[in-house]
Amino acid sequence: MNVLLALGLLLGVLFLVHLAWWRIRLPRRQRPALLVLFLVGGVVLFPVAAWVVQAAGLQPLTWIQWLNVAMGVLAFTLAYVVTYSALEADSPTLSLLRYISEGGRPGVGTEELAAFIEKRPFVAARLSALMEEGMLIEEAGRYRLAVHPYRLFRLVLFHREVVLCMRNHGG
Amino acid sequence: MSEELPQIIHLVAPVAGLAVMCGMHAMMCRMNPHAPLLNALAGAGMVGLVVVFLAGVAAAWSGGDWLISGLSALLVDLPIYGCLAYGYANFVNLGQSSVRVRIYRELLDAGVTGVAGEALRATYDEQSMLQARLERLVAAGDLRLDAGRYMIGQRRLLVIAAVIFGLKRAILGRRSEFMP
Repeated sequence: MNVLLALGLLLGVLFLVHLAWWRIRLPRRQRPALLVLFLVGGVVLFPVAAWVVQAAGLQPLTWIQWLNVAMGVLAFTLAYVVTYSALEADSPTLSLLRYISEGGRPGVGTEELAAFIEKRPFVAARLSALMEEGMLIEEAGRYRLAVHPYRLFRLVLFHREVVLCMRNHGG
Repeated sequence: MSEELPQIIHLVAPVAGLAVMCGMHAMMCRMNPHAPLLNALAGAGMVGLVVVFLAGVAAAWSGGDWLISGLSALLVDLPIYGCLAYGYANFVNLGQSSVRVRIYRELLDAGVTGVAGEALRATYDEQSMLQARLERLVAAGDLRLDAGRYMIGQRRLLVIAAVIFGLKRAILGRRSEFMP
């Protein structure tokens, strides 16, 4: 129970700090800011959590239990940062499903769907975002990749093609 | 060591569950390449869940208190495993449906000369993205196609959509990136 208390306390405080920060001012690079807040903030708050566990009259945590708490903070942070990318930028699939489910219509036809997507230029928006982030370069109407490590994209494609043996392009 | 063993098992349980999930998922994809992505992930995730449950039993059996071990497995190990499994599922989904990864792949295939804007739009634009998604959603049973009209099939992704759009409003105060 002491692990649960320490973990709940750390995540609760960090999430409240995140909400307060985001209400006051949105960071320019939101996902890296979230990672720093939860990982660095988690380490900074460890002694506070240890003190609260002791003050609650529970047995002090062993080093193995602290590792368990750290793993919990890390796992939650990764899951939340992944979710956050769907908050920052709309998911085309989820937007589509919500549109089809709205209004109690007897289904949605292809023309209505095309009109819906026309108002939401997902591909153009991602192209602009990639250029803003310096990953793509546009020169004389041609797009090319900038010199960039693209570690995550490479890992995603390697896992998809080599580990899962999926050959289609996705997207 | 006997006192620490249950704690070590609780520490390792979510990672072991995730490792088994990844292995099972790779095996399922190789055995049935055309299976809907979400179904393969859910199946592999359930196997990982069983591993976490068995680890909880092993922790109790190795000298831990049955009640404490049960509660630890339920309230700490399972949520940690849930977060790790969710992260893996999203990692896999990036390859399947991320617009950015798809653009990266098109440009990677084009090499150093890159690709003309018109050629890129001819291969991958909003309409082809829409078509690919509709096909996947129908194949997975999330949508039904009846007399040329798309209807909701299974509601599982709608639950996720409700959570995501609710969080978006609560944290960012907007409904959509295109409609602030």
